[in-house]
Amino acid sequence: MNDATPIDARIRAVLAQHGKLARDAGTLPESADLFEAGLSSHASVNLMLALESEFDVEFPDQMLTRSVFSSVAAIRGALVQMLSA
Amino acid sequence: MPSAHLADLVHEAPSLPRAALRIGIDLVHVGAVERSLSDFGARFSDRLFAPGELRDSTVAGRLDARRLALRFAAKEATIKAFDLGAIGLGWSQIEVIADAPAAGRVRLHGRAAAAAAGAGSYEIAVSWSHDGDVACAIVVAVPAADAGTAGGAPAGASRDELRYGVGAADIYNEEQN
Repeated sequence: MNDATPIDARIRAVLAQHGKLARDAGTLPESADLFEAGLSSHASVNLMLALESEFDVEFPDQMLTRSVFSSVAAIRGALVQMLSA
Repeated sequence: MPSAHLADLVHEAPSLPRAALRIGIDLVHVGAVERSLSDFGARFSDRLFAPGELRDSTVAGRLDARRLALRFAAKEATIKAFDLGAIGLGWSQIEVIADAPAAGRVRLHGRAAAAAAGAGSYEIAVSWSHDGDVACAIVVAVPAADAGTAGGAPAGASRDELRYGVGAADIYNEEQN
């Protein structure tokens, strides 16, 4: 995906600020499991709210699943879906 | 909630397996909740908590982070107990109601209620505790002995009789009211 890189960079910046991961959000593989990397349930809420601010979107309830916030790639997929709607 | 709407939700909700016992636990740092309130304000509190929960968590005119942390832990414990992480639901669909200083019940709404209804009727107990910066909640759910199958609360059952009853039992009452 051509626009993956700039979106990924913004996702990773938000992740670094709010994810409280045990690993470096900047170098985490895009498919790495964020919950395995230390993302807690509460941190995932902060991540969601910060992503909404960063991308000016609102996650609908149907998207508030564990899988949507399970990796950088999954988050990107959800954001692309919302931004293209 | 109108019955037709609930029926739609039940149809859409992924089916959950019946289980003899469901249990969930979660820990939340009170300080982290304080930071969330500071960083996100009402976007955080209104997105996660129902009006009654916010009312019960207000002390001296301001939201109390410890009370919010206990309720958030109870919501997450409920999600774990019923494996709702894949359903796609807002946290306010899991409403925590305090009946005592360290115990309460959970009332499910919307997709959360529909998913639980698909698994049958359960009685759920919630207990919570805190120590310093850590808030903890545990949820234990057992099939309701006299509630029958999904949506089948006992005839004439009242909310008082279902003190710890949620899921399908509570859905039944909501539909009747």
